[in-house]
Parts: sequence; structure tokens; C-alpha cells
Amino acid sequence: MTFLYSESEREMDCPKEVVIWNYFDHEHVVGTHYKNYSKVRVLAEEDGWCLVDRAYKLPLINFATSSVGFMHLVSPNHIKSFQMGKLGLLMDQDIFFEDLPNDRCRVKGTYRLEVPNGLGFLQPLWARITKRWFDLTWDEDAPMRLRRWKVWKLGFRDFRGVPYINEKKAKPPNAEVRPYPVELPTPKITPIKGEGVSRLFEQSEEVGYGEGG
Amino acid sequence: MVAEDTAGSTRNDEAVTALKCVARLSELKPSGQLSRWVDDHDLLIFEHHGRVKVLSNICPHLGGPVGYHKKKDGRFTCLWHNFQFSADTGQCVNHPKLCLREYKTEVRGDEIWVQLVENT
Repeated sequence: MTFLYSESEREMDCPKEVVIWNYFDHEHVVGTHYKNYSKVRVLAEEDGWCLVDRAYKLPLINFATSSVGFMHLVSPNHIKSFQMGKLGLLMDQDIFFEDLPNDRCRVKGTYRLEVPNGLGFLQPLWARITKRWFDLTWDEDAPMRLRRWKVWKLGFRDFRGVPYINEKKAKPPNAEVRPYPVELPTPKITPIKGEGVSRLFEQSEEVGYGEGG
Repeated sequence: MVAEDTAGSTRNDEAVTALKCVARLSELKPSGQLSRWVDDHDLLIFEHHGRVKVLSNICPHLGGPVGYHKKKDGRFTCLWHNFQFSADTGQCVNHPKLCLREYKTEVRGDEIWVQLVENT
């Protein structure tokens, strides 16, 4: 056997805990990434790990496929995942997080695919596909993470919203920003752990995030 | 002294609860829908049955942008997790306990005015 390998690195203007939430928020893949993901189902999950079945389309080669993936928060700075696709090849992925000053972080992802000997020539294609995948999903996730951090700082509570907005009151002055907790499994109110959730559409007239994100 | 304080806070309350110009009809016209942050409120401004309405653009589920996709069949679909909301009422179609705040709105000429704070 031989291995195809690639790595990518980017920085985010939010704490790493928000990025980790984003990785473990499996329901968003058929929303935020609706152009590529068609269905997702959580098969099992406990504190710090999950087993997920996802159907999606790979970029560049436009290949529709699916994989079952195991994702594990190894430490506050490291997610490890293994994915087995239709072709029976095992991919393992590491995502490393590094705190940066001013509530920022650095994220590094590595992709390693085990293939039969003789397929090592696919390394350049592998590097292009995984780089494209990392960048594509990053560009869709980045505004989500920034917005999540923004509403969190305004006092947002999951399944409730922002209290001063709901209560039609003025924003409390000098409200303290709560630390962002990593809560796994993430709380859910969709059928993702049952029959799974599918995207509602694969094309849309987008208005966008609007001014201010 | 007490009367002055009372009068002062009344004036302050009036300032806090005053309507604010948040957009122009000419900005809304191209797509009939826009969103923007104003004073830490994310406003979803749109035309609906010939009226201008303003709902909160913050999905109460996990905070996503309700108005990311163009309104379709009288509903908004939040980008992040596909929760849908009625443009008429702001009520979530998927989970009835979730609802978007509707802002008091006035159209004055070309300007759209919204009351961000109603209660003091």
C-alpha cells in the first residue's frame, strides 16, 4: 500500500472552540454546503466522538459519492477523523487548532488516503482535489463561524435567540462576553439521528449574508 | 428633583425607543429583500403583499441568516440548517416554538424606519 497526502492551513477571526463547534455541527452540511452535500445522518455519537454517514459531490471531478466517517475530538487542539468511501479506501484526516491572540485561531488540516501500490501517480490529483475541498468548504464555513461568534457575543442562546432583541429592549451596556464552550454532542432538534436530513434544494437565488455578515 | 429625574428619563426613553431610518425603498427595489446590521440588530427587510416588513434575520435555532436565500412561496429558509419561517408571521414552520421578532416599521417617502427598542 502507499499513501496520498496533502495539507492546508488557514486562519480564522474567531476562537478555535467556534471552529470545533462548526466541525461537529453535522446538520449544517446540507444547509451551508447545500451545493455539495445532499444528505447527512448521525449513526452514533457520544461525548467527543461521532459516526456520520454523508452523501456529497467531490469538486473538480464532479463525482457523487458517500462515506461513513468517525470523528473524534482527541484534545482541545486536535480532531481526528477516519472516512471510508464507496471505493473501500480509508482516508484519515487530522485537524489541528492553535490559539492566536485577540480571539483568533489557526487551523491546519491534513488528508491521507491509503491506496494500492502503483496508484502513487495520483498524488498531484489528490492534492488538487483535497486543496479545492478544503478551500471550498472553508469559504462557506468562514462566514458561518464569524457570525456564530458575533451573535454569541451579543448574548445569543441556542433555540432562543438574542434576549434583548426578543424582549424588544435596549442592548445591555458592557455585557460580559461568555467563554465559548465546546459542548459535544451538539444539542439537536432535527431528525439527523433518525432518518437523517437532506438538503431542500441544490440551486437557489442567493441574497447573501447582507451587510455586516 | 424627582420630577426632573422623571422628566429626564422620559426624554431618554423616548430617544431610546425612537424609530430609526434603516434603509431606502430604492435599495430594496432590486430584489425585494435585503438584510443588514443596524445597532447590533440584524434586520431582514422585505416586500410582502405590497408592504414593507422587517423581521429579525437571526435564526433562533443557532443564529444563522434567515434571509440568505430569496423568499420563496411565502417562506424564508435559513442557510445553515434549513429551518423555514413564514414571511407573514415570522413563525418557524419546522418548530412552532421558534419565532422571529417582527419590528414596527414605517415607510416615510423613500425611507424605511424601524423601532429597534420598544420596551425600556
